[in-house]
Amino acid sequence: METTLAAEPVSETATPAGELADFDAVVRDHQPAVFRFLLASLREREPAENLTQECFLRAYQARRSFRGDASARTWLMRIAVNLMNDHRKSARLRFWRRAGETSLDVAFTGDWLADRRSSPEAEASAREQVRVVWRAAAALSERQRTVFLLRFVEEMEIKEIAAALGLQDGTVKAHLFRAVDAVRKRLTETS
Amino acid sequence: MSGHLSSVEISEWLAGIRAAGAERHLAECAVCAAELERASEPLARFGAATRAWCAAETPVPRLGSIKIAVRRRRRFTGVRVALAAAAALMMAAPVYFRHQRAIETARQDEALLEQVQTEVALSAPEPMQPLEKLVKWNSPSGQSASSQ
Repeated sequence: METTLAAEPVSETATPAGELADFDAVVRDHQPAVFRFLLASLREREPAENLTQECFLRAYQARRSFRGDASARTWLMRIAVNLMNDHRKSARLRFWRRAGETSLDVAFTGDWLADRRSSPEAEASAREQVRVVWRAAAALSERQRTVFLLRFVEEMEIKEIAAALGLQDGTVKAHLFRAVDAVRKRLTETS
Repeated sequence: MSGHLSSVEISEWLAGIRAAGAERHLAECAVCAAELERASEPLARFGAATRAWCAAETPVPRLGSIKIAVRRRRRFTGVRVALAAAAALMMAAPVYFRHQRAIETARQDEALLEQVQTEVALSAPEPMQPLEKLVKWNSPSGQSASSQ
């Protein structure tokens, strides 16, 4: 993965409101990311699919009110986060509280590592690292986990995450720091 | 900056908290740059593995189904409006018919009253009218007896 760790300040390109005029393109371009974020957050495919559809349904209905002062992705993610929060209130985070009991046990996500050129030992180690990160993510607070997933899975910039969650940049950084530090400590403990 | 970056400083850097001192140090210190690279790897792997896993699970974009859902929701809204209108009609209809019945009853009462008044206005009942004519004819003043 090419997670950007460069020091230059992050920037967000404002998107003209007209971007949503071609809604087919919006769905085509952003549905995978919205679904991915919801699936990684909820770890259950069916609600992730339903919420993804609901997200685009709401976006479609509200597309004329899109002012374009944030990117379409940020706007969609904000809708997705709100939907997810509503879902969590009702579902009470079943998956994360019974980590490992689902058919979509993310422990196997390590099997999706793209780099197959390394040695079997290195590959096993990398896979184990992914499992550890997943378990550590499960222990994070909801807000920390959301920020963590948006940063390292969606590769969103701090400003984008802040806009999607309605938080200040500094607050996002603080949540992200706690999440990263907790994950790194878990990795250190298990290595 | 003295020494190398601490674990907390590396976590801060990974979280986007970029202190100028840390930035300068990373530019000059290969050990810390390597440590930062090592620390970022599991996070990068996690992201890549999750994206790959989700990509395999990602349904094909279904704009059609979204549009159908929008139409369904609109249709459902239409149905709700129709049901609300029907309910309002059901509630209003008895009131309307009761009102109409009251108007009809009032009209019938009015007609009956008019009829009664007409009958009362007659000086004598119909069977006695010949007698009344006779009385009028015998009156010296030419006035009806009933009017006296």
